[in-house]
Amino acid sequence: MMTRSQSVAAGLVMLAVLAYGLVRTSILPRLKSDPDSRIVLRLAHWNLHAGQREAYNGMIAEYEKIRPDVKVVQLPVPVRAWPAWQQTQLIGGTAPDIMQIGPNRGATDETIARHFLPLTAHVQRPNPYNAGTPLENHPWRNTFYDGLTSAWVFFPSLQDVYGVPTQLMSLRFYYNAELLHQVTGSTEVPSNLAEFQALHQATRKFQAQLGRHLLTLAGSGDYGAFLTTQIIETHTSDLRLSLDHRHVLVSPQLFNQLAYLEKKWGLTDPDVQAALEVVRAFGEAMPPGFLQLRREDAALAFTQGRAVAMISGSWDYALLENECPFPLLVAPLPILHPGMEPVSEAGAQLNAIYGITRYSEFPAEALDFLQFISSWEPAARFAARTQTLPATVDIPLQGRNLHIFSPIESPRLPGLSLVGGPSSSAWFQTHAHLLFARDGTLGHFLQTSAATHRESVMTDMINERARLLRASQRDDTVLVSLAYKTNEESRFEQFATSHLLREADLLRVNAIMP
Amino acid sequence: MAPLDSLCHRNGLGRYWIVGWTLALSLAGALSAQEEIGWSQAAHLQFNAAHDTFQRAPASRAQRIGLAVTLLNVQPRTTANRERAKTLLKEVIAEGVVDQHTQAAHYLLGRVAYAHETKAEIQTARMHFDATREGDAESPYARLAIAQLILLSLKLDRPISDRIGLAEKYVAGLPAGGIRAAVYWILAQALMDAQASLPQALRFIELALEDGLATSAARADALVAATLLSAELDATVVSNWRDVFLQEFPRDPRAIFLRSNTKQSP
Repeated sequence: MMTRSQSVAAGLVMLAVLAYGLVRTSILPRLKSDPDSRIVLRLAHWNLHAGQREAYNGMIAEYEKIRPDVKVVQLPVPVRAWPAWQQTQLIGGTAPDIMQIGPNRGATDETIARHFLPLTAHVQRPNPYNAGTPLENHPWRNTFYDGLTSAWVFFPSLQDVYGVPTQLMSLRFYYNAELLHQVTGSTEVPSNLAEFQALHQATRKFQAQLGRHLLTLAGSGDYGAFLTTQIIETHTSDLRLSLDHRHVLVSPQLFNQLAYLEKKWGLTDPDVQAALEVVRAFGEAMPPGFLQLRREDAALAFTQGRAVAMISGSWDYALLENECPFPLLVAPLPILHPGMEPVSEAGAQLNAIYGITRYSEFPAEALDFLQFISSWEPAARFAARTQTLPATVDIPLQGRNLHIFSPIESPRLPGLSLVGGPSSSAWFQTHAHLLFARDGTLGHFLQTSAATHRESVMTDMINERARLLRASQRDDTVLVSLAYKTNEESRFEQFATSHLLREADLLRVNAIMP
Repeated sequence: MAPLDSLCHRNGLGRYWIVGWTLALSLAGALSAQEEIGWSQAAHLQFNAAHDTFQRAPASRAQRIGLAVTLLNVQPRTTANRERAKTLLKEVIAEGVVDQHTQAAHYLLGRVAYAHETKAEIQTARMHFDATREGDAESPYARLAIAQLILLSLKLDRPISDRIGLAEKYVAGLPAGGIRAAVYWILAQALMDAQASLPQALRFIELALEDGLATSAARADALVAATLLSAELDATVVSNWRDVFLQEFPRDPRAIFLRSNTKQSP
């Protein structure tokens, strides 16, 4: 039996525990976060393109005026160092409050679930910073271009929104207006493939007259791959629809690759061959060996006036607008035959997607900051400063060319891809030189690379099957845990649906693959 | 809705805060708090942390399920962990009590046999899924087990009509809800993949939509499929699924296609 003094001691211990909790959660963080006692939020990203860091500083200054109790510190990290840096921060438990997330940057579903906070519940309610704007009273999720359904924003296997996007990206051709006028006598940009080929011929003639080397299109390996993907997707839209047995219009890549293994389509398909011919035509307009060049090389050739055009994305617009000593023209990719409709870019790629880490001492303030930067007025100012497309909807675009980057809306949906994973991506890098060889032919490319393409797709599918199985095994623990937790019926049903559909996909993969 | 703070990792001294609270709650008699933490960690894919939590939790049938289910996914995955999980689950069943824990144990043993063993043990899986059904038919485990039996039916090497017929017998045992909706959608997909009876596929899709698919991605896909199949089967029919899709998913890239290529309701 406890003595009176023991009871008092036990009571004091309990009080001490509760007092520590109060100090730990409410007082200590504020005292230790900053000498001037403001809450410090750290924001890490890899957006180092021209003007981005300065624009973030501007936005942070605006936010700190509204929230004088908060200080936001920007941590720009070079993209090449990002995966290792991110991993170290997350594993070490020292991750900043807000981190950028995105494809090929070392973040898997499991990384996201373990280290980031789900935002689903918060995106259903209006963003308070949209009060008094055209987006007032709209659920926060509906104020984004994609409704927060895109990859790296919404994670289907986790059934949660983890990211808030702030920018949109699109691929366009940049033209040197002066050079274009000298070559063609006009500043009319090519609107289709035939016009682009005419520009290429005119450039060659002009080059001969000029007596110095001039490129029609400044190219690089990375952007050459983007261009190839876009051309093939554009020219295989109808083929993809013909494979859409499930009547969902955008059959998942998994099923397109399975159909390829079932020989329902292939490299010798007329649509694919037509697309590859277009790819070859653009290869001829780029410098020999462009696959080995980097985007910086292409940008240098273009800004120095050694190329009439350059392919790049909206992310380079501010840089080129500032650096080019000539008027710049921007236009959609002239990859279509005359009379063809472009494919829709409505599922445009998002960029500068931000998540809140579980290591944040101030998740409520981090959420508030994300609401601020994605709200109508700050997002409009950021877009104007950086000359980028905002991911927030209904923002009037400022800047002479910016509207040209807006995603193309078209009833034609994007088609197939020859690259469905790391193995087929490596196949393209290995064989692309055959496709672009000046003395080569499409026939030679197909003859040399068709068999290895099939092998590479098979390898990707084997890896995809293993990934599906691992995800399905992981679901077992999550599902049973949700069933045991109270008040999680709706989340349980969401996970169960996602799990069962994954299992059905696995069944189909196993029925087709050996 | 859980406040964001409640989901954060608490580092360093913060862990003692959790321990302190757990201690206080334990002293007050709420001994299951640790299990609740374990389930929450596992639901957020923090399998190793959840396993540690269940190891510290007082012994109970739920705690053994927690240990077993987290052992299946703690890193690194090992055969020893899987065997230990099976032993724990069999112990729960051997106690002879018919409750939700027994159902969970049977369901998990079925899943281990089907999806975690190096080579799938279909008969063992089927046996455990059948046993899961014998308890409360509305429990989450019974619903999942029936869905698994339906997937096993679709795997059989028989004509698609036979497989669908067998699957439909199991569907009769499923209560209305998200899992039954998912199953209807899977049956429709199986028929469309086989390019078999499209009217039957449309019927399944409509049943899935009526039951309520639990994820927005699946609902969007099913609405598009219902719209296109309706038009394919009878060009004179104008499906109201189109309008539902356009209203619910106006920003979906497929919305422009449907506006341009399908008929609007009068």
